[in-house]
Amino acid sequence: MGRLLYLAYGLALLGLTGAAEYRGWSLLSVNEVKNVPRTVRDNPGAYRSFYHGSSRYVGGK
Amino acid sequence: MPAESPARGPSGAASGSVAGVKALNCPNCGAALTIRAFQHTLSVVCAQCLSVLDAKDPNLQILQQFEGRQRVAALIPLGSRGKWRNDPYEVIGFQVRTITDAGAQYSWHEYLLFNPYKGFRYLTVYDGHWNDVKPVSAVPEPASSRGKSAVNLLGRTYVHFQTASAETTFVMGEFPWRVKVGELVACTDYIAPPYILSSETVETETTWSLGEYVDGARIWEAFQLPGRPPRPAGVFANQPSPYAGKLKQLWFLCGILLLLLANLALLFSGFARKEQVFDHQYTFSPGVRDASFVTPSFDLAGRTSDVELSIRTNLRSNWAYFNFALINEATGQAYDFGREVSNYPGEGSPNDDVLIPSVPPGRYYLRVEPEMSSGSSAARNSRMTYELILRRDVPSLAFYWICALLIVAPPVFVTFRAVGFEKSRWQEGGDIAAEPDSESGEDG
Repeated sequence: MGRLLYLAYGLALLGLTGAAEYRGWSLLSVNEVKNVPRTVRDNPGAYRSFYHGSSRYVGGK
Repeated sequence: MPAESPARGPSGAASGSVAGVKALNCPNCGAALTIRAFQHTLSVVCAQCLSVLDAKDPNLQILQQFEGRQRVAALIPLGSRGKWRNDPYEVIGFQVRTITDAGAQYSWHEYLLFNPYKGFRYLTVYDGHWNDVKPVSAVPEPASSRGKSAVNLLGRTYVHFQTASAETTFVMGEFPWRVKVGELVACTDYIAPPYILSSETVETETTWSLGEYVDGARIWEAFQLPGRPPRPAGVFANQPSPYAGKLKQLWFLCGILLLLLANLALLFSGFARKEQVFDHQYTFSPGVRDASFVTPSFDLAGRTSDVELSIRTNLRSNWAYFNFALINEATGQAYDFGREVSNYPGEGSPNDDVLIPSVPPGRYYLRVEPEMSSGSSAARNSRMTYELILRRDVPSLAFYWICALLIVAPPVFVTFRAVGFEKSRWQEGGDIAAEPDSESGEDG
Protein backbone atom coordinates (compact mmCIF):
# COMPACT_ATOMS: atom_id res chain seq x y z
CA MET A 1 0.00 0.00 0.00
CA GLY A 2 2.73 2.43 1.05
CA ARG A 3 4.78 1.53 -2.02
CA LEU A 4 1.86 2.08 -4.39
CA LEU A 5 1.05 5.37 -2.70
CA TYR A 6 4.65 6.50 -3.04
CA LEU A 7 4.77 5.37 -6.67
CA ALA A 8 1.57 7.31 -7.41
CA TYR A 9 2.99 10.34 -5.60
CA GLY A 10 6.26 10.11 -7.54
CA LEU A 11 4.53 9.72 -10.89
CA ALA A 12 2.27 12.68 -10.09
CA LEU A 13 5.37 14.74 -9.33
CA LEU A 14 6.95 13.69 -12.62
CA GLY A 15 3.76 14.61 -14.44
CA LEU A 16 3.66 17.99 -12.74
CA THR A 17 7.31 18.64 -13.55
CA GLY A 18 6.70 17.65 -17.17
CA ALA A 19 3.71 19.99 -17.34
CA ALA A 20 5.73 22.81 -15.74
CA GLU A 21 8.52 22.29 -18.25
CA TYR A 22 6.17 21.99 -21.22
CA ARG A 23 4.18 25.10 -20.31
CA GLY A 24 7.32 27.02 -19.37
CA TRP A 25 6.41 27.73 -15.75
CA SER A 26 8.97 29.65 -13.75
CA LEU A 27 9.55 30.58 -10.12
CA LEU A 28 9.77 34.25 -11.13
CA SER A 29 6.89 36.37 -9.92
CA VAL A 30 5.67 38.52 -12.80
CA ASN A 31 2.79 40.91 -12.94
CA GLU A 32 0.64 40.39 -15.99
CA VAL A 33 -0.91 43.60 -17.29
CA LYS A 34 -3.55 43.52 -19.99
CA ASN A 35 -4.21 46.09 -22.70
CA VAL A 36 -1.02 48.09 -22.43
CA PRO A 37 -1.55 51.10 -24.77
CA ARG A 38 0.32 51.07 -28.05
CA THR A 39 1.71 54.51 -27.18
CA VAL A 40 4.25 52.84 -24.88
CA ARG A 41 6.38 52.15 -27.94
CA ASP A 42 6.48 55.90 -28.74
CA ASN A 43 6.65 57.11 -25.15
CA PRO A 44 8.24 54.45 -22.93
CA GLY A 45 8.61 56.85 -20.00
CA ALA A 46 4.84 57.18 -19.70
CA TYR A 47 4.46 53.52 -18.73
CA ARG A 48 4.34 52.88 -15.00
CA SER A 49 5.83 49.50 -14.31
CA PHE A 50 4.32 47.47 -11.50
CA TYR A 51 7.84 46.70 -10.34
CA HIS A 52 9.01 50.29 -10.55
CA GLY A 53 11.82 51.04 -8.14
CA SER A 54 13.81 48.87 -5.78
CA SER A 55 14.52 48.88 -2.09
CA ARG A 56 17.80 50.60 -2.90
CA TYR A 57 16.31 53.18 -5.21
CA VAL A 58 17.21 56.60 -3.94
CA GLY A 59 16.16 58.84 -6.80
CA GLY A 60 12.78 59.81 -8.16
CA LYS A 61 11.17 60.55 -11.45
CA MET B 1 12.18 -15.56 29.42
CA PRO B 2 11.11 -18.67 31.27
CA ALA B 3 13.22 -20.12 34.01
CA GLU B 4 14.35 -23.71 33.98
CA SER B 5 13.25 -25.67 30.99
CA PRO B 6 10.39 -27.83 32.17
CA ALA B 7 10.13 -31.50 31.40
CA ARG B 8 8.09 -31.76 28.24
CA GLY B 9 6.62 -34.56 26.25
CA PRO B 10 3.46 -36.20 25.08
CA SER B 11 2.72 -38.13 28.19
CA GLY B 12 -0.82 -39.38 28.44
CA ALA B 13 -1.66 -37.40 31.50
CA ALA B 14 -5.17 -36.56 30.58
CA SER B 15 -7.92 -37.74 28.37
CA GLY B 16 -9.46 -34.31 27.75
CA SER B 17 -8.54 -31.96 24.96
CA VAL B 18 -6.36 -29.90 27.28
CA ALA B 19 -5.83 -31.42 30.68
CA GLY B 20 -7.68 -33.13 33.43
CA VAL B 21 -7.98 -31.67 36.90
CA LYS B 22 -6.94 -33.12 40.24
CA ALA B 23 -8.56 -31.59 43.34
CA LEU B 24 -6.57 -31.12 46.59
CA ASN B 25 -6.60 -28.82 49.60
CA CYS B 26 -3.95 -26.36 50.76
CA PRO B 27 -2.33 -27.63 54.00
CA ASN B 28 -1.86 -24.03 55.12
CA CYS B 29 -5.32 -22.48 54.66
CA GLY B 30 -7.46 -25.40 53.55
CA ALA B 31 -8.44 -23.76 50.28
CA ALA B 32 -9.20 -26.02 47.34
CA LEU B 33 -6.32 -26.54 44.89
CA THR B 34 -6.43 -27.80 41.34
CA ILE B 35 -3.56 -29.51 39.55
CA ARG B 36 -3.92 -29.68 35.79
CA ALA B 37 -0.55 -30.92 34.58
CA PHE B 38 -0.42 -33.90 36.97
CA GLN B 39 3.01 -35.55 37.02
CA HIS B 40 4.60 -32.59 35.25
CA THR B 41 3.74 -30.28 38.13
CA LEU B 42 6.49 -29.92 40.72
CA SER B 43 5.17 -26.84 42.50
CA VAL B 44 1.69 -25.51 43.05
CA VAL B 45 0.76 -22.16 44.54
CA CYS B 46 -2.35 -21.79 46.66
CA ALA B 47 -4.54 -19.12 45.13
CA GLN B 48 -5.84 -18.19 48.58
CA CYS B 49 -2.74 -17.82 50.77
CA LEU B 50 -0.09 -17.82 48.00
CA SER B 51 1.86 -20.60 49.76
CA VAL B 52 4.16 -22.49 47.43
CA LEU B 53 3.56 -26.23 47.85
CA ASP B 54 5.46 -29.31 46.79
CA ALA B 55 3.14 -31.02 44.31
CA LYS B 56 5.16 -34.23 44.43
CA ASP B 57 4.74 -34.59 48.17
CA PRO B 58 1.60 -36.60 49.13
CA ASN B 59 0.99 -34.11 51.96
CA LEU B 60 1.70 -31.07 49.78
CA GLN B 61 4.58 -29.85 51.90
CA ILE B 62 4.75 -26.07 52.19
CA LEU B 63 7.89 -24.84 50.46
CA GLN B 64 7.32 -21.12 50.88
CA GLN B 65 4.80 -19.08 52.82
CA PHE B 66 3.80 -15.41 52.60
CA GLU B 67 1.89 -13.04 54.76
CA GLY B 68 0.22 -9.92 53.45
CA ARG B 69 1.91 -10.28 50.10
CA GLN B 70 0.55 -7.97 47.42
CA ARG B 71 -1.26 -9.85 44.71
CA VAL B 72 -0.64 -9.20 41.06
CA ALA B 73 -3.65 -9.48 38.78
CA ALA B 74 -3.14 -11.78 35.82
CA LEU B 75 -4.45 -10.48 32.52
CA ILE B 76 -5.19 -14.05 31.44
CA PRO B 77 -6.93 -15.83 34.34
CA LEU B 78 -5.56 -19.18 35.42
CA GLY B 79 -7.60 -21.99 33.90
CA SER B 80 -8.30 -20.02 30.72
CA ARG B 81 -8.39 -22.30 27.73
CA GLY B 82 -7.83 -21.35 24.15
CA LYS B 83 -6.58 -22.52 20.80
CA TRP B 84 -3.09 -21.23 20.34
CA ARG B 85 -1.00 -22.08 17.27
CA ASN B 86 -3.71 -24.56 16.25
CA ASP B 87 -3.50 -26.50 19.52
CA PRO B 88 -5.63 -26.26 22.66
CA TYR B 89 -3.75 -24.87 25.65
CA GLU B 90 -4.67 -24.06 29.20
CA VAL B 91 -3.11 -21.35 31.34
CA ILE B 92 -1.86 -23.15 34.45
CA GLY B 93 0.76 -20.82 35.92
CA PHE B 94 1.54 -17.15 36.25
CA GLN B 95 4.70 -15.49 37.51
CA VAL B 96 6.18 -12.03 37.63
CA ARG B 97 9.91 -11.51 37.01
CA THR B 98 11.63 -8.25 37.91
CA ILE B 99 14.86 -6.56 36.92
CA THR B 100 16.12 -3.73 39.09
CA ASP B 101 18.26 -1.11 37.39
CA ALA B 102 19.41 2.12 39.03
CA GLY B 103 16.66 1.82 41.61
CA ALA B 104 13.93 1.37 39.01
CA GLN B 105 12.09 -1.94 38.72
CA TYR B 106 11.07 -3.42 35.40
CA SER B 107 8.66 -6.33 35.66
CA TRP B 108 7.26 -8.64 33.07
CA HIS B 109 4.58 -11.28 33.39
CA GLU B 110 4.84 -14.88 32.26
CA TYR B 111 1.86 -17.14 31.66
CA LEU B 112 2.56 -20.85 31.62
CA LEU B 113 0.51 -22.72 29.02
CA PHE B 114 0.07 -26.48 29.05
CA ASN B 115 -1.13 -29.06 26.57
CA PRO B 116 -0.61 -32.72 27.60
CA TYR B 117 0.42 -33.65 24.04
CA LYS B 118 2.43 -30.56 23.15
CA GLY B 119 3.96 -29.73 26.51
CA PHE B 120 4.57 -26.28 27.93
CA ARG B 121 4.97 -22.88 26.39
CA TYR B 122 4.85 -19.37 27.76
CA LEU B 123 3.20 -16.12 26.91
CA THR B 124 5.20 -13.21 28.27
CA VAL B 125 4.19 -9.58 28.37
CA TYR B 126 6.06 -6.38 29.13
CA ASP B 127 4.44 -2.96 28.68
CA GLY B 128 1.84 -4.43 26.33
CA HIS B 129 4.42 -6.32 24.22
CA TRP B 130 3.67 -10.04 24.01
CA ASN B 131 5.94 -12.96 23.18
CA ASP B 132 5.13 -16.59 22.53
CA VAL B 133 8.01 -18.48 24.11
CA LYS B 134 9.03 -22.12 23.79
CA PRO B 135 11.96 -23.84 25.44
CA VAL B 136 14.66 -24.98 23.01
CA SER B 137 16.78 -28.04 23.52
CA ALA B 138 19.53 -27.09 21.05
CA VAL B 139 22.43 -25.03 22.35
CA PRO B 140 23.21 -21.93 20.24
CA GLU B 141 26.75 -21.37 19.01
CA PRO B 142 28.64 -18.18 19.80
CA ALA B 143 28.91 -15.79 16.86
CA SER B 144 29.30 -12.10 16.15
CA SER B 145 27.28 -9.70 14.05
CA ARG B 146 28.65 -6.30 12.96
CA GLY B 147 31.07 -6.27 15.82
CA LYS B 148 28.39 -7.19 18.36
CA SER B 149 28.25 -10.34 20.41
CA ALA B 150 25.75 -12.81 18.99
CA VAL B 151 24.71 -16.44 18.92
CA ASN B 152 23.66 -18.65 16.07
CA LEU B 153 20.76 -21.10 16.29
CA LEU B 154 19.55 -23.17 13.35
CA GLY B 155 21.02 -20.80 10.80
CA ARG B 156 19.68 -17.59 12.33
CA THR B 157 21.97 -15.10 14.05
CA TYR B 158 20.68 -13.43 17.19
CA VAL B 159 22.43 -10.24 18.34
CA HIS B 160 23.09 -9.71 22.03
CA PHE B 161 20.56 -7.30 23.47
CA GLN B 162 20.66 -7.40 27.23
CA THR B 163 22.15 -9.21 30.18
CA ALA B 164 20.48 -8.78 33.52
CA SER B 165 19.68 -10.48 36.76
CA ALA B 166 15.98 -11.24 37.09
CA GLU B 167 14.16 -12.07 40.26
CA THR B 168 10.93 -14.01 40.56
CA THR B 169 8.66 -11.65 42.49
CA PHE B 170 5.23 -13.28 42.29
CA VAL B 171 3.92 -16.76 41.51
CA MET B 172 0.47 -18.24 41.07
CA GLY B 173 -0.79 -21.60 39.80
CA GLU B 174 1.36 -24.63 39.08
CA PHE B 175 4.80 -25.05 37.62
CA PRO B 176 6.88 -27.90 36.23
CA TRP B 177 9.86 -26.76 38.29
CA ARG B 178 10.54 -25.87 41.91
CA VAL B 179 9.27 -22.34 41.78
CA LYS B 180 10.55 -19.96 44.41
CA VAL B 181 9.80 -16.30 45.00
CA GLY B 182 13.03 -14.36 45.33
CA GLU B 183 14.98 -16.69 43.08
CA LEU B 184 17.56 -14.89 40.97
CA VAL B 185 18.51 -15.96 37.47
CA ALA B 186 21.05 -14.46 35.10
CA CYS B 187 19.18 -13.68 31.89
CA THR B 188 20.73 -12.89 28.55
CA ASP B 189 18.61 -11.92 25.59
CA TYR B 190 19.63 -12.12 21.94
CA ILE B 191 17.38 -10.73 19.25
CA ALA B 192 16.59 -11.25 15.60
CA PRO B 193 13.19 -9.52 15.37
CA PRO B 194 10.55 -10.86 15.61
CA TYR B 195 12.47 -13.53 17.53
CA ILE B 196 14.17 -13.36 20.89
CA LEU B 197 16.48 -16.07 22.16
CA SER B 198 16.96 -16.04 25.90
CA SER B 199 19.27 -17.89 28.18
CA GLU B 200 18.70 -18.22 31.89
CA THR B 201 21.39 -19.44 34.20
CA VAL B 202 20.90 -20.67 37.73
CA GLU B 203 24.18 -21.68 39.30
CA THR B 204 25.72 -23.89 36.61
CA GLU B 205 22.58 -24.80 34.69
CA THR B 206 21.66 -22.80 31.60
CA THR B 207 18.42 -23.17 29.71
CA TRP B 208 17.46 -21.56 26.41
CA SER B 209 14.08 -20.46 25.12
CA LEU B 210 12.94 -18.94 21.85
CA GLY B 211 10.27 -16.27 21.77
CA GLU B 212 8.36 -14.76 18.90
CA TYR B 213 6.73 -11.34 19.09
CA VAL B 214 2.96 -11.62 18.82
CA ASP B 215 0.12 -9.16 18.68
CA GLY B 216 -1.82 -9.04 21.95
CA ALA B 217 -5.08 -9.05 20.00
CA ARG B 218 -4.30 -12.57 18.76
CA ILE B 219 -3.98 -13.78 22.36
CA TRP B 220 -7.22 -12.05 23.33
CA GLU B 221 -8.93 -13.74 20.43
CA ALA B 222 -7.40 -17.15 21.13
CA PHE B 223 -8.37 -17.17 24.82
CA GLN B 224 -11.60 -15.24 24.25
CA LEU B 225 -10.65 -12.62 26.79
CA PRO B 226 -12.97 -9.69 27.39
CA GLY B 227 -12.04 -6.20 26.24
CA ARG B 228 -8.82 -5.37 24.47
CA PRO B 229 -5.19 -6.05 25.35
CA PRO B 230 -3.23 -3.14 26.86
CA ARG B 231 -1.67 -0.89 24.24
CA PRO B 232 2.06 -1.52 23.78
CA ALA B 233 4.26 1.27 25.11
CA GLY B 234 7.60 2.13 23.52
CA VAL B 235 9.59 -0.29 21.40
CA PHE B 236 10.31 -3.81 22.65
CA ALA B 237 13.55 -5.73 22.12
CA ASN B 238 12.27 -8.05 19.39
CA GLN B 239 9.38 -5.96 18.14
CA PRO B 240 9.48 -6.13 14.36
CA SER B 241 10.19 -2.76 12.84
CA PRO B 242 7.20 -1.52 10.82
CA TYR B 243 9.76 -0.15 8.39
CA ALA B 244 11.71 -3.39 7.88
CA GLY B 245 11.65 -4.34 4.22
CA LYS B 246 9.73 -1.19 3.26
CA LEU B 247 12.83 0.96 3.35
CA LYS B 248 14.68 -0.96 0.64
CA GLN B 249 11.61 -0.97 -1.58
CA LEU B 250 11.09 2.76 -1.07
CA TRP B 251 14.70 3.59 -1.96
CA PHE B 252 14.49 1.28 -4.97
CA LEU B 253 11.36 3.10 -6.18
CA CYS B 254 13.04 6.41 -5.38
CA GLY B 255 15.97 5.42 -7.63
CA ILE B 256 13.58 4.51 -10.46
CA LEU B 257 11.68 7.80 -10.10
CA LEU B 258 14.93 9.80 -10.11
CA LEU B 259 16.02 7.92 -13.22
CA LEU B 260 12.68 8.78 -14.88
CA LEU B 261 13.15 12.41 -13.82
CA ALA B 262 16.63 12.49 -15.36
CA ASN B 263 15.19 11.06 -18.58
CA LEU B 264 12.44 13.68 -18.51
CA ALA B 265 15.05 16.42 -18.11
CA LEU B 266 17.09 15.02 -21.00
CA LEU B 267 13.96 14.72 -23.16
CA PHE B 268 12.85 18.32 -22.57
CA SER B 269 16.38 19.60 -22.89
CA GLY B 270 16.73 17.80 -26.22
CA PHE B 271 13.46 19.15 -27.58
CA ALA B 272 13.74 22.69 -26.13
CA ARG B 273 14.13 25.40 -28.80
CA LYS B 274 16.69 27.45 -26.83
CA GLU B 275 16.28 29.95 -29.66
CA GLN B 276 18.00 33.32 -29.27
CA VAL B 277 15.48 35.97 -30.35
CA PHE B 278 17.19 39.16 -29.22
CA ASP B 279 20.69 40.36 -28.29
CA HIS B 280 21.75 43.98 -27.90
CA GLN B 281 24.25 46.06 -25.94
CA TYR B 282 23.35 49.32 -24.19
CA THR B 283 24.98 51.90 -21.97
CA PHE B 284 23.49 53.75 -19.03
CA SER B 285 24.53 56.79 -16.98
CA PRO B 286 22.68 57.54 -13.72
CA GLY B 287 22.43 61.20 -14.53
CA VAL B 288 19.93 60.65 -17.37
CA ARG B 289 16.44 61.98 -16.52
CA ASP B 290 14.34 59.40 -18.34
CA ALA B 291 16.28 56.24 -19.05
CA SER B 292 13.33 54.12 -20.20
CA PHE B 293 13.30 52.81 -23.74
CA VAL B 294 11.87 49.98 -25.78
CA THR B 295 13.74 47.41 -27.83
CA PRO B 296 13.02 46.54 -31.45
CA SER B 297 10.31 43.90 -31.88
CA PHE B 298 11.13 40.22 -32.04
CA ASP B 299 9.13 37.04 -32.63
CA LEU B 300 8.53 34.39 -29.99
CA ALA B 301 7.63 31.26 -31.91
CA GLY B 302 6.36 27.82 -30.92
CA ARG B 303 3.96 26.91 -28.13
CA THR B 304 3.41 28.82 -24.90
CA SER B 305 6.68 28.43 -23.05
CA ASP B 306 9.23 30.43 -21.09
CA VAL B 307 11.56 33.18 -22.21
CA GLU B 308 14.99 33.58 -20.66
CA LEU B 309 16.35 37.06 -20.18
CA SER B 310 20.08 37.32 -19.56
CA ILE B 311 21.60 40.56 -18.31
CA ARG B 312 25.36 40.97 -18.72
CA THR B 313 26.83 44.12 -17.15
CA ASN B 314 30.26 45.54 -16.43
CA LEU B 315 29.27 46.55 -12.86
CA ARG B 316 32.04 46.63 -10.25
CA SER B 317 31.36 47.55 -6.64
CA ASN B 318 28.06 48.93 -7.79
CA TRP B 319 24.46 47.96 -8.37
CA ALA B 320 21.76 48.53 -10.94
CA TYR B 321 18.05 47.88 -10.98
CA PHE B 322 16.07 47.13 -14.12
CA ASN B 323 12.35 47.49 -14.59
CA PHE B 324 11.27 45.29 -17.46
CA ALA B 325 8.02 44.85 -19.33
CA LEU B 326 7.77 42.23 -22.04
CA ILE B 327 4.87 43.53 -24.15
CA ASN B 328 2.91 41.72 -26.84
CA GLU B 329 2.50 44.07 -29.78
CA ALA B 330 -0.79 42.61 -30.94
CA THR B 331 -2.66 42.01 -27.66
CA GLY B 332 -1.07 44.64 -25.46
CA GLN B 333 -0.43 42.04 -22.76
CA ALA B 334 2.62 42.91 -20.66
CA TYR B 335 4.75 40.85 -18.26
CA ASP B 336 6.16 43.26 -15.67
CA PHE B 337 9.10 42.29 -13.51
CA GLY B 338 12.16 43.81 -11.91
CA ARG B 339 15.74 42.57 -11.53
CA GLU B 340 18.57 43.83 -9.41
CA VAL B 341 22.17 43.25 -10.43
CA SER B 342 24.81 44.02 -7.84
CA ASN B 343 28.46 43.16 -7.88
CA TYR B 344 30.71 43.81 -4.91
CA PRO B 345 33.99 42.14 -3.88
CA GLY B 346 33.11 38.68 -2.64
CA GLU B 347 29.41 39.23 -3.13
CA GLY B 348 26.99 39.25 -6.03
CA SER B 349 27.58 39.00 -9.75
CA PRO B 350 27.61 41.42 -12.70
CA ASN B 351 25.24 39.11 -14.55
CA ASP B 352 21.72 37.80 -14.05
CA ASP B 353 19.45 35.28 -15.75
CA VAL B 354 15.72 35.02 -15.30
CA LEU B 355 12.94 32.95 -16.83
CA ILE B 356 9.70 34.73 -17.75
CA PRO B 357 6.98 32.11 -17.38
CA SER B 358 4.42 30.88 -19.90
CA VAL B 359 4.67 33.46 -22.66
CA PRO B 360 2.33 32.75 -25.60
CA PRO B 361 3.77 32.97 -29.10
CA GLY B 362 3.62 36.36 -30.86
CA ARG B 363 5.53 39.49 -31.67
CA TYR B 364 6.95 41.26 -28.62
CA TYR B 365 9.16 44.10 -27.54
CA LEU B 366 10.84 44.80 -24.24
CA ARG B 367 10.47 48.01 -22.28
CA VAL B 368 13.62 48.61 -20.22
CA GLU B 369 14.11 51.12 -17.44
CA PRO B 370 17.51 50.91 -15.76
CA GLU B 371 18.32 52.64 -12.46
CA MET B 372 21.55 53.20 -10.57
CA SER B 373 22.59 55.14 -7.51
CA SER B 374 22.87 58.83 -8.32
CA GLY B 375 23.51 60.12 -4.80
CA SER B 376 27.14 61.25 -5.28
CA SER B 377 28.90 62.99 -8.15
CA ALA B 378 31.10 59.93 -8.58
CA ALA B 379 27.99 57.80 -8.93
CA ARG B 380 26.41 60.25 -11.36
CA ASN B 381 29.54 60.10 -13.52
CA SER B 382 29.71 56.30 -13.55
CA ARG B 383 28.64 54.49 -16.68
CA MET B 384 27.27 51.00 -17.09
CA THR B 385 27.49 48.92 -20.24
CA TYR B 386 25.07 46.04 -20.35
CA GLU B 387 23.83 43.45 -22.78
CA LEU B 388 20.30 42.01 -22.93
CA ILE B 389 19.85 38.56 -24.44
CA LEU B 390 16.46 36.89 -24.88
CA ARG B 391 16.08 33.18 -25.59
CA ARG B 392 12.85 31.31 -26.24
CA ASP B 393 11.95 27.92 -24.61
CA VAL B 394 14.86 27.33 -22.27
CA PRO B 395 14.76 24.32 -19.92
CA SER B 396 14.48 25.27 -16.24
CA LEU B 397 16.52 23.20 -13.79
CA ALA B 398 14.67 24.57 -10.75
CA PHE B 399 11.62 22.34 -11.16
CA TYR B 400 13.76 19.24 -11.61
CA TRP B 401 15.60 20.00 -8.38
CA ILE B 402 12.34 20.63 -6.54
CA CYS B 403 10.87 17.43 -7.98
CA ALA B 404 14.01 15.46 -7.02
CA LEU B 405 13.81 16.80 -3.46
CA LEU B 406 10.12 15.90 -3.20
CA ILE B 407 10.84 12.41 -4.56
CA VAL B 408 13.64 11.84 -2.05
CA ALA B 409 11.73 13.35 0.90
CA PRO B 410 9.46 10.34 1.74
CA PRO B 411 12.27 7.72 1.79
CA VAL B 412 14.42 10.09 3.86
CA PHE B 413 11.52 10.60 6.28
CA VAL B 414 10.90 6.85 6.55
CA THR B 415 14.64 6.25 7.02
CA PHE B 416 14.68 8.71 9.92
CA ARG B 417 11.63 6.97 11.42
CA ALA B 418 13.29 3.56 10.99
CA VAL B 419 16.51 4.77 12.59
CA GLY B 420 14.49 6.31 15.43
CA PHE B 421 12.67 3.01 15.91
CA GLU B 422 15.93 1.07 16.13
CA LYS B 423 17.39 3.71 18.46
CA SER B 424 14.39 3.31 20.77
CA ARG B 425 14.84 -0.46 20.65
CA TRP B 426 18.51 -0.33 21.59
CA GLN B 427 18.03 2.29 24.30
CA GLU B 428 16.57 -0.51 26.38
CA GLY B 429 19.47 -2.83 25.62
CA GLY B 430 22.74 -3.28 27.50
CA ASP B 431 24.05 -4.99 30.56
CA ILE B 432 22.33 -4.46 33.88
CA ALA B 433 24.19 -5.46 36.97
CA ALA B 434 22.31 -7.50 39.53
CA GLU B 435 20.93 -5.44 42.39
CA PRO B 436 19.43 -6.82 45.55
CA ASP B 437 15.72 -6.13 45.82
CA SER B 438 14.80 -5.62 49.46
CA GLU B 439 11.05 -5.61 48.85
CA SER B 440 10.59 -8.80 46.94
CA GLY B 441 12.57 -11.24 49.00
CA GLU B 442 10.93 -14.30 50.49
CA ASP B 443 9.31 -13.81 53.81
CA GLY B 444 7.93 -17.24 54.52
